[in-house]
Amino acid sequence: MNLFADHPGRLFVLATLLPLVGFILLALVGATRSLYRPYRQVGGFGSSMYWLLGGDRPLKSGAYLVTACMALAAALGLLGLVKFLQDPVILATGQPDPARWSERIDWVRLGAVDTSPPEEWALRQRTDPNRPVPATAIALELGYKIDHLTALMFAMVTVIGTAIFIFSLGYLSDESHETVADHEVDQQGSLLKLPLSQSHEGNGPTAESGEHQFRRRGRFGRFFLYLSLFCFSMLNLIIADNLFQVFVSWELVGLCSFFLIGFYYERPSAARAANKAFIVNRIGDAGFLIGIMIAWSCLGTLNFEEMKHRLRSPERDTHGPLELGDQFVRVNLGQDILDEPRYGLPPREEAGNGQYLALFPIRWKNPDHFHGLGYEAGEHNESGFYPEPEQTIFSYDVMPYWLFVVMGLGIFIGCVGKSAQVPLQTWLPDAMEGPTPVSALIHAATMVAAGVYLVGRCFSMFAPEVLLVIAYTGAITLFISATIALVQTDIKRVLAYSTCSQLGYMMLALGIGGWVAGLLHLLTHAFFKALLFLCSGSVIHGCHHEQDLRKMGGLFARMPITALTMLVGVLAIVGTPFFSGWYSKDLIIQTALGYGLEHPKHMALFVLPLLTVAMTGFYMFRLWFLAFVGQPRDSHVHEHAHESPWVMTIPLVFLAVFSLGVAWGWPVWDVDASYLGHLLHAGEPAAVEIGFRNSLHKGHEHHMLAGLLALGAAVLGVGLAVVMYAKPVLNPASLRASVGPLHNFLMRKWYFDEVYHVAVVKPTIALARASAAVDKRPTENGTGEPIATRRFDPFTLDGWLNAIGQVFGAVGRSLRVLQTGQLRTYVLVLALTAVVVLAILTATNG
Amino acid sequence: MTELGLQPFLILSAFLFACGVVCIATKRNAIGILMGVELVLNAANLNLVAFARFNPAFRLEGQIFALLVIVLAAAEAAVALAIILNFYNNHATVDVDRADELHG
Amino acid sequence: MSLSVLLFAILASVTATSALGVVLSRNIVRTAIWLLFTLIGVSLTYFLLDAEFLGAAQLIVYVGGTLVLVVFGVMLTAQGPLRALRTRPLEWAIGGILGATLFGLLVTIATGIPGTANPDADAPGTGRIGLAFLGVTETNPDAEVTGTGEDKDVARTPVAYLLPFEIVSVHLLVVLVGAAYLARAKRRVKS
Repeated sequence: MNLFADHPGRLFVLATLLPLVGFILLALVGATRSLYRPYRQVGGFGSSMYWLLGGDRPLKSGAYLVTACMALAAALGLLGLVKFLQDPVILATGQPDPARWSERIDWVRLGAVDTSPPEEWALRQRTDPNRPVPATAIALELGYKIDHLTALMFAMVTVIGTAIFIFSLGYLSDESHETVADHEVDQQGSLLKLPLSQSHEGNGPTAESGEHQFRRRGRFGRFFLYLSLFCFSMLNLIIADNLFQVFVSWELVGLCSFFLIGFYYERPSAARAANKAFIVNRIGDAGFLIGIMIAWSCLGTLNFEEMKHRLRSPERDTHGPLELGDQFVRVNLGQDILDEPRYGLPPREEAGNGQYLALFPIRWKNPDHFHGLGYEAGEHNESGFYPEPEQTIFSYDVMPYWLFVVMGLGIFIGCVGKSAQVPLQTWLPDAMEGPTPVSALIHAATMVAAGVYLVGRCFSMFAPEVLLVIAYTGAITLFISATIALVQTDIKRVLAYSTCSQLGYMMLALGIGGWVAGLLHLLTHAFFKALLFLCSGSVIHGCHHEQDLRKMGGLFARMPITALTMLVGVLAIVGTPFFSGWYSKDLIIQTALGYGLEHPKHMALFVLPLLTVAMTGFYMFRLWFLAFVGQPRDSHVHEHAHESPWVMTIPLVFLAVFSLGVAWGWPVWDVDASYLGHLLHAGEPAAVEIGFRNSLHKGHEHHMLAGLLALGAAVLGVGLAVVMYAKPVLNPASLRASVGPLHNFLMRKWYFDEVYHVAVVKPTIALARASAAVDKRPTENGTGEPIATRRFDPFTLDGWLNAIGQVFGAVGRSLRVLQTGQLRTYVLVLALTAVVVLAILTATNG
Repeated sequence: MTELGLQPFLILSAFLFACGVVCIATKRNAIGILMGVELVLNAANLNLVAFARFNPAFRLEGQIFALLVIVLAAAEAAVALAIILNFYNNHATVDVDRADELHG
Repeated sequence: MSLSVLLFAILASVTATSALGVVLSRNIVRTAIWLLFTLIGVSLTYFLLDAEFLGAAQLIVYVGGTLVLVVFGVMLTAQGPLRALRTRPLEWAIGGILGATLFGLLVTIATGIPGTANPDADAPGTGRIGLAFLGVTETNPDAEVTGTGEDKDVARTPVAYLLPFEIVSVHLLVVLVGAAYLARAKRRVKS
């Protein structure tokens, strides 16, 4: 086991690769099977292969295999976490030893072939000043880096992933049949113009073919195929140590979400939702790509550690000496006596308004570069003293400050798309079209978590302006989504908007310096949101795919386990004391309060989340009351409802336990004592402490106030839900009537979809139509009659292109005459050319 | 002019070269053209040898190049004659003006 | 007027006259004879330039080999009416003017070239050429390189000609095979 003794981080790599192995196995088997499918009744080798690999039935054993892989990955992830926490170096210094916990290899190498390290080059240059310095070799790397955040995220994703895999075994048991009837397609009609009975040829149209029913093959194996690829991508994203690897996994996650949201692709709504999720994410990814490219061209690396090390700042440091490697510099570009640019400091009073960002070498002659830069003990050295960094190959460089801001914004836009923040949040509710376990996976552990995770990862590369944008984006998102969630009637959509809202909390927390608070909320939220989604899945499964809350009610007696576990989830998300959500949410509210007190003009960043706490309490309890208590509103649904099988309830109980206690510490009643929070705190970047020391401090001072305010707000919201839905003191219908327009406004989700449709989709389609009309060929008339089109074209693009072509044709035809085929003519021309060239040479040379 | 210099050889070579070019340009007989080519090659060789004689840095190189040219000229003549014979077999003539099938 | 100048005058006039003869004669057989004299003249000029081995090679290879080949070609192709293919006067005029211009230009350039460097240095004999071809000796170990700028330090690398020699010999073989293939009698396809 030497492989893992020196590099325990490889445990995580192994755990990452396990789902990929499962995916590859399933894909190979599936592909082989469909390859031999035409021969299945012919006999011989092809036929025996086909039946050996499972025949007509969906791959059930494959699903068990990938579930086992996932469980093994979870075990490895937990083992890795334990090893990480017991690492002697980490116990001693609090920081992981990079040699043990990270590795990198070159993936694509660009630039110099000389692979010797920069120190070597610097040495050679010192011994021989004339030696040309090779361009720095830059490489796209593949690597992993385990720190506290990574280890915790990894354990979270694998554990929740395993629970979801197991749950899916039960939830999708319908799909394991040879043929599956999809009623939704019958109701919606299909865009695909499929035959109504798409059962495979072997079985032929079944007995029910007389009914108007869409039938297809079960997709049990395919579901797990996508699911395992999804998990692999997410795990790879988590352990990645550079932005490029993150980007690749990022796109893979997007692709898998496309597959999974569009799992029932015969349903037009599912197909549209998948497209929407994919396209909206592309918008975010465009921004992300811009950020990556700026980082690549200005910083020369995409490795998180190295990027961090190349950005320094004395100005953000107002609290004592800088720590190496976690800050950036805004300095004015100066010039020395020889008119060569030097990166001197501005006068002290102008220190804050620098236009440039200096990228500094990694090592300094004077490691305490705060003094090296000239701000020594309060006096500013203006005698032309310049800091002298040790000259390495990575010498000084500057980057305009606005570009630095754009880089941060670009990365954040990617996170906005992935984590469904305003204004790119519209895809997330539509993503409910996928099977419910997928919703749980996307909403809890993987896709949307990726954005928040990346913001946490890149925290020290965000300029203050970017952080403010992040905070406001989060605040707006959490508020808007919560208001929409108040009125939704689809059980999954309520949860979807609640996810948006909670993600807004995380973004807000990260933007105002609550690094620990935001990421702790990410971890706890993952557990209780997975629980909530799986519970809703259990409800939907038990009610035979009924998702409308208005048709439920009184289900508690029918499915007690689901109801109770869901109650745990609801209590957790509302922020009930001692449930995991309480710890993280209180931290966020407390940080926001501190920030609001420190910067009174940004008080909205505290007020909005506080309001939303009340709303969260209301809509979550509304959901629970509507589903589980009161009178059954649809007797048909109620009569047929049943508790889910154990394979689904066990993950629920499992997750409920986690939702209750994952953030516990000692003493339990102290929010700040959360063990998980302490672990995260150990991994906090130094930039947090430097940039937000005052506001964090204020937050700590007032944490009782913040906690009480949040609790009061939550009680208010829950109480309103109780009086409206549990003890019908207030009639929801009459209330709805009294605020009709507002209700409508929220029902239509603030008209985001409508606005996008008018502002983006329609113009795009109109433009496409117009372009098509311009270029229409006469043959494209479906009726076969000749039509008078292309009026426009011959004069514009086509006309110009044809004219160019014709000119060359004419030139060619005229030159053709010169090609006589006569040898002697050619020789004459050759000689003539020689004469002319010689004459010119003689004339010019004198 | 008491001593023989480089220029007389160069002028002789230039004359041979011009004769060769004119020969190629005017002869209609394919073999005549081949002879013109030989003249041009000889002019070049004469240049090489003359420079080798009067420039000590290239004393050996000039002669060696000339030798190589002679050998290559022999090879070229063999191939050219083969082509001419082939042409003659097909067209019953060696008139190059008749070989214009590739005109544009 | 030294002996070498006299010899050159005679040789040059003979060679030039024969070259003119090559150009001007209509009869292809006569052209071949004029070419023979030109080639002999050139080979004698080589002797005059202290390149005895080259002169001998010129005589053997050109006069004895190539020209015989050409004469064979003439014999194989030249039948009565084809012997004299007439060229139009206009073509003569154009070719002549062109040739004269070319000659004039070349002479202008030739006279612009600086004079002799060291005509008395010992000419390499047959032995050194042979050794160079075998790759045994450096061709010119300590000669001064001229023709480059003063500021450029041109280093001479040891050069030998074994590889070109081998390439040429293989080339020759290939060419002869190719020529034999091209000129072979075609088998008639029975129709």
